Amino acid sequence: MSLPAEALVNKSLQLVSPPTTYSQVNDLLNDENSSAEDISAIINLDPALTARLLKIVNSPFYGFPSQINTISRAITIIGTRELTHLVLATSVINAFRGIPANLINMADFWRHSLACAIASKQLAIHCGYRATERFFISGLLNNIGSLVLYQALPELAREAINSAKSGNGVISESEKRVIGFDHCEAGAALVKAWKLPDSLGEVAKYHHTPSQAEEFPTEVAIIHIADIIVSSAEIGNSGDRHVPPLDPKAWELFNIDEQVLPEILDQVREKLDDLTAVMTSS
Amino acid sequence: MSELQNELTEQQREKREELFRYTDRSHPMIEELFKLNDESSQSDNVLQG
Repeated sequence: MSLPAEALVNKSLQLVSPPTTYSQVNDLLNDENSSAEDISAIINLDPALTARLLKIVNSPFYGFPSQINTISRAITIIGTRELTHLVLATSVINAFRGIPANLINMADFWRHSLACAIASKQLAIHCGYRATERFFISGLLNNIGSLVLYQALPELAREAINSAKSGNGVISESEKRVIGFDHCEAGAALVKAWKLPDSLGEVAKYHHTPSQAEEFPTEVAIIHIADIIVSSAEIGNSGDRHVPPLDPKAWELFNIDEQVLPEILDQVREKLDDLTAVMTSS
Repeated sequence: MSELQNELTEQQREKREELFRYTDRSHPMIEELFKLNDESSQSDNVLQG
């Protein structure tokens, strides 16, 4: 089953640009001999990306009191890791701009994904995790496989969406029936093809079946729960108008009380408009 | 007016049933999310009313 998903990704890759600046920045991030100056030099080579990143870090979402005018200053303030995640996020949003609106409204798709990103990070904070920005990017890209299906197989993807709408099960089941594999497998194949971090591949593959996660069960479980929270509040559109089935083991992993859920939803609603505006504007 | 609001509430109830169709409503987490969705719809009705 993995071969068709990989073949589809290869077809999709001919149509979208890979996040090359992200790959270069990520290599530097993992190189102990590199500096923040090296990272900002790579980003500065792409003026459109630089402008977008500065727009994001100067947005109300971050709410810094003074203007940030350079990438090196942005790195000093939000850190190299978080800036690297923003490079990846903006590159992916940009890469899939061409998906037709009559298949899915991309503004709604990213609104759902950005809400998942915020909810994932807030949930991780509630659970006492550190370095929570990794949960943000994992939440944002959990449905990246859907974009591959929309891009490479628009007619079959539409059929799967309509089938799920008609009450024939959740979207993953419809995709498997119509296409032969689902957005989870397509997402994992894309993460592998683009050489993105393995944790993103596991989240893409197992966010609906978190008990199957092997290396990153915590991250996958957090994103699984965040997706359910956001879907239940009908924020944006993931391509499925149903709340995905809960894997109770994912919830039990964290020993948190369901009373935190209203607070998490409040935080999502408070930050979402500003974040969506700055991340998805052309 | 109140009849119209009741009718809309019925539509919202059906939509919510469909939304939560494939997940276990008896789980405390889902129960809470179901309640929150209900409250959000009610608050929309108040705003629209």
